[in-house]
Amino acid sequence: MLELLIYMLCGGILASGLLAVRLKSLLAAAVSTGLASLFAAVCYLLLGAPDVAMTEASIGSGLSTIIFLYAIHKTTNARE
Amino acid sequence: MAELVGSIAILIGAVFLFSAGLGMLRMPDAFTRIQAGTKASTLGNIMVLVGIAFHHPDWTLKLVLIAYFVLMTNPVSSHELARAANTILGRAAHSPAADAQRWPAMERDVMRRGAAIVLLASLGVIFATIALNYSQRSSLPELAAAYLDLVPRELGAPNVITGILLTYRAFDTLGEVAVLFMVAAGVGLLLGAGGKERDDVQAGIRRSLQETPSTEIVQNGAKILVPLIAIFAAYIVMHGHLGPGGGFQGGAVMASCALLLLLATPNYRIKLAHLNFIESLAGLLIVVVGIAGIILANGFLDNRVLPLGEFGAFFSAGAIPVLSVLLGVKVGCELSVIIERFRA
Amino acid sequence: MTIASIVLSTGLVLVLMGIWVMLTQRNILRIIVGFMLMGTGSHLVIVAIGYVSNGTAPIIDGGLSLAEAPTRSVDPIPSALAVTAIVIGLAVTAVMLAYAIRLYQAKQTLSIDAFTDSKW
Repeated sequence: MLELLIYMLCGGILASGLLAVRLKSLLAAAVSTGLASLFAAVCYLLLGAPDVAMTEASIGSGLSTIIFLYAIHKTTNARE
Repeated sequence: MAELVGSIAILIGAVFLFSAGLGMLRMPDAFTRIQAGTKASTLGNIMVLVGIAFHHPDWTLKLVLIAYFVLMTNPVSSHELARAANTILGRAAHSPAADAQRWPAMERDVMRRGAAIVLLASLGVIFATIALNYSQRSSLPELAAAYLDLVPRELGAPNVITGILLTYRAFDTLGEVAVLFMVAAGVGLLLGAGGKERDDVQAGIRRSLQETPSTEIVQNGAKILVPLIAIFAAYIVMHGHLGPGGGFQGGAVMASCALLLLLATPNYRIKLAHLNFIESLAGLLIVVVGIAGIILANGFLDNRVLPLGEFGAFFSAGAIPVLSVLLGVKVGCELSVIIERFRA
Repeated sequence: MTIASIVLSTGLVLVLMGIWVMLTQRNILRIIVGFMLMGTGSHLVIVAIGYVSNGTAPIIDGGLSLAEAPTRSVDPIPSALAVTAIVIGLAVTAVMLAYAIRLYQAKQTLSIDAFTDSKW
């Protein structure tokens, strides 16, 4: 049962990593990276490391994606 | 027999190295000197290494690595020397435009991609070897067993990871917090510096943010959620020694709370001077607790300056809750400063 | 395959994907996406190495008593290292993004081919 869950989560991590590589839109690539971090956070929980899971969830798929979105906002000249 | 071949190779290498030295002394021009210094010496180096490999066959892998490094660094350094000489001597014969004409864009892309594929294939082979030879552990290593025994017994903290991070490896944690402080200062330097054009850009951003305020869902949701998230952050920080949690996790959640505030009220400008003061005060207090550890207990940032208390109670594990709170405040302030600099 | 091997292989594949993106993309922000992928992959590798068969979290509470802790819990040291590594990864990403923003403000383009002049 645990192995099945780990297989599914690792498949999710690889799929979102592949999406982050291949997608044309930069915004979607950033969000895919956050999605990979989220799957990784659940993986850490199943591997018996809840501290790492909390850190990865809040920092990897929260703050990291947000500052990337701010950076995208500041570097597009499609404003006003 | 192998030793004879090796000695001949070393002799040939020595001849090339001698010619490199002679060339560097006798060539008339900077560019020809650079050419003599790198071409002949690279070949001489590799011949000497091949000769040594014949003498000591079990050193072959290390010698191949050394030859690889020589091959990677000699051309790059001679290239940079040549560019420097070109700039100083002022000749316009080698310029990026001329280089672009020599290598059209598509060929450069193909070469780049080919080099990337070669590198990734070799890395893939190394990683596959690692992954295939790894077998899952069935028992703990000795250091881990020692930590699992020491942390509940000596420090009185049920959460072993927090015990390691805040007492046994507390100096590393202090260094990491220093790195975060440096990053917050660096981001402030890069994104917050003055200049009239940047002031105009920031005023334009504020105007556009004022014209499009956040929607009702975000505003009302933030009114309910911000106090809850703040309490959750405080809970994570203060229960760090009893369950999963600690300073870093609570600090990140605190920064998320500040982020929600910023998203809900776009006019709100965090007073960075206050945040910097709180963060510096927290850092100073961490060092004070550490020095108190030297004076009153066994070492820097030792947690036995405060009484250990009862195992599993809220006020227990000595100074670990105090350090968690200070760490959480400091990390939260630093991450909030980074977010605020990115926003404006 | 064992659980730790699966997660270890996933982490290593993510590292390879991140390195590929960093080497072949021309947009600076995409290079930073590759860096973030590589970081996530390497953290997966660190935590996967610490897993012990049928292990549980190294927290002494109702689920794991003090006597059976050395036999039933996972390795706490890679978890502690991974917590530090994740926070430092965020810090480095923030500096890289700040540099990308400044480079864009200097030259109005995000392609890394536009920045070819060396310092001198």
